[in-house]
Amino acid sequence: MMNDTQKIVKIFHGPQHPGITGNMSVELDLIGETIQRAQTHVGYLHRGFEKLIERRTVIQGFTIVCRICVPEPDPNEENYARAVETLTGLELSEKAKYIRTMVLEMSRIAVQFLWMGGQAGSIGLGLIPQWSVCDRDYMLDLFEELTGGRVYHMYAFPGGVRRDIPEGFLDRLSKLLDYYEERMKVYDNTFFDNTTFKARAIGTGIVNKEEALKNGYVGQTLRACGIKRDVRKDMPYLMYDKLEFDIPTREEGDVYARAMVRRDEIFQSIRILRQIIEQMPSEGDILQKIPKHRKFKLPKDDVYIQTESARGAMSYYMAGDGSEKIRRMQVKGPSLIHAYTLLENMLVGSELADVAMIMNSLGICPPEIER
Amino acid sequence: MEIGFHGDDFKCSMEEKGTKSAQSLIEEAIKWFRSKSIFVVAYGTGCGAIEMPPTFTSRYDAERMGITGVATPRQADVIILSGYLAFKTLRRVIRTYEQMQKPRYIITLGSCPINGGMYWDSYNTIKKLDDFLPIDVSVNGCMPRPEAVIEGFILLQERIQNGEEAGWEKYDRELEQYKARQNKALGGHIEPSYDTDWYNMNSGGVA
Amino acid sequence: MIERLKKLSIEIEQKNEHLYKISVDFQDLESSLLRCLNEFNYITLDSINYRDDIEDEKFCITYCLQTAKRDHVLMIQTFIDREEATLPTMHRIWPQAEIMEREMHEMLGVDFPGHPTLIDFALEYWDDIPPLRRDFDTLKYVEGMDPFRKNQRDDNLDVKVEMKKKKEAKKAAKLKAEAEAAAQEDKEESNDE
Repeated sequence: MMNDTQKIVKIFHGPQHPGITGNMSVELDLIGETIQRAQTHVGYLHRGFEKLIERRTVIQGFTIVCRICVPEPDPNEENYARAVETLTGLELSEKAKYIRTMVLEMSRIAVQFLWMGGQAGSIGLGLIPQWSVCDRDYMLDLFEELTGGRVYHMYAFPGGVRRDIPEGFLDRLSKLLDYYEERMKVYDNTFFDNTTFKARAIGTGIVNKEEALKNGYVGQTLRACGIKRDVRKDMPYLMYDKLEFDIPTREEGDVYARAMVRRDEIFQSIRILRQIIEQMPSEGDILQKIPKHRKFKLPKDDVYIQTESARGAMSYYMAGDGSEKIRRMQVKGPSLIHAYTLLENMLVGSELADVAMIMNSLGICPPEIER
Repeated sequence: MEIGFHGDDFKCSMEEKGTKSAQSLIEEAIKWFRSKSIFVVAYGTGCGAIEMPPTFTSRYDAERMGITGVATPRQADVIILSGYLAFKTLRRVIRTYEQMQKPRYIITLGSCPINGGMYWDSYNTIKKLDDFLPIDVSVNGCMPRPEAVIEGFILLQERIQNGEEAGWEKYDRELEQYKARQNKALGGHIEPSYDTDWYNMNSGGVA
Repeated sequence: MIERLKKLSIEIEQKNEHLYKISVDFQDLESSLLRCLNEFNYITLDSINYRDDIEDEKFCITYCLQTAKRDHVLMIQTFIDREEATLPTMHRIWPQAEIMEREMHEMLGVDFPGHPTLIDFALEYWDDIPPLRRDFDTLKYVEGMDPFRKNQRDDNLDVKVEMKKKKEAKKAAKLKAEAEAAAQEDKEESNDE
């Protein structure tokens, strides 16, 4: 007769669940509370983006491409604009490059605050989401002043940006960065030095360092293992080769190390933004002259572009065929490999209560897995 | 004798309402209580789920209206469908909606459930949600701001207090037509069926 | 590593300072990838990209490789037949290729002999041709389901037709106003007389 504790129970950590990041599901086989096998299921958000883009011209495609990744739309727009510029040979002015770098760094800070809320909420610290989502909202107010929208900006266009910076914008940004530096001391006391968080996070969700580079992991998963890789330093684009910043790393490779790497990156982003505020040129073209709607033709070529988003390197493959429509655009986000190759192996042997914490620390965002 | 107060057109017209019986007072009280404590199922179905954390946390506090989130559909009153629905999600949403206890309401955000939105030519999304599930309140925007979502909730509260016909009553009355349309669009599979044997399926089954 | 590759007699196309491309034949594909991995230290497979060239009746497949330093990307491109598309599976060498090949099988219809899980990735109960082929017309598929609201879309009108209607309505209103003004003048003149 089978012992009751040896029976396998199947649980869907499923689409309707308060502990899952987005609309996806993980199918778990459990004995007791230990996971024996995990399978990821996506497809609940599939819109067929790559088929929609094939019917649209360059300007029409620019309006929908920011919805590929919902919490973080700016690296998508940046990749799209840079791919079209590389194919057609457009050059940007210095002011446009500074503005695009500024938008990317502002978006990075906003996403790290949203991550902080999710990570604390997944282990039961309900106070931190109330603070950090409100602090992220002040950055979204600045985005609304600059671009017109809180979440979906549609701002970075092939050839530059769509509008100039308003009067006094850089002063308001500078005051907000002072406020953030004061607030990070409060977050240090309540979240990053919290005994409960340390007791649960240190030693769980360890990434194997020898396989990390070969398997194609990106972002904080690599940097928390001690491997110092970042697209902004290795293959610099826009203004990153003229700005000074560091890449923070840790050695252990567990959930706590990834959290501390993200905390250090907030400070590095604030440092980059302060340099941009000082160095921003006051004159320059915002948008280059581009052909009109149906006459903006892409040459018969293909290109591969990478940008560093807040969770890792995001890659686009774009191909044109001589007409005004985009022939092919393929998106590969950082979550594809993390959600399948890494998560299914890491969860074997973990506890059921740690699944939400591990998924939040890897930064898995389902709309960019299945587009 | 009670005096009614109408605020439209900024004119004040006094009206006699007559005495209220005890039964109607109890019904009014039940409707008032029901509208002031709304529980929302934790299910972020689409793009609009990114504006849910700001609505329910401290800046645009929705809890002052009595709105809060719960974990399971058995405990909830409202399901928020925030954006477009793929076919795979529609099957799970139908199952979740039918598991909620009555009275139950649906709020949709955005223009995608109304007529397809910007994915109108996609092969995997639902263009008109009204065919499959009854919608009570639609909030427009892409995404709607947190203030707009709260305004949608207040509209729902007024509808509950006025006693208008809700979506779940229409769904019960016209169940066969709704089921026929659902089966036609989803190809006859409204998954997962209640007698699926999860333990002996090969990998790659329905999840 | 790219300098060592340049010493061989292969044609390498440089697109910009971080992007290089090599074209190989389909028979040499697996041996070229293994050679890049073992001899020239391209240890990371970043992604497998694909494109449907329906005019030449071929699929264009691109493997993007990177070294440990990740300071440039090497694209290895090949063309395979469209009718019976098969590719060698790379999941024993690079584990991330398992999910990328599963998606290619579903979206494009390419077969990978020896792959452990060639099952659904994002679609459920799909019974048409693989959707990312160029001969799948998504607009016709959607309109065949007849999903839109009838007579209620005021954004689905033709712009030229509506502008014409507006202009004609304006002209007719102007003529009517002139006719009324003329009739009013005649009436006043007859009243004066």
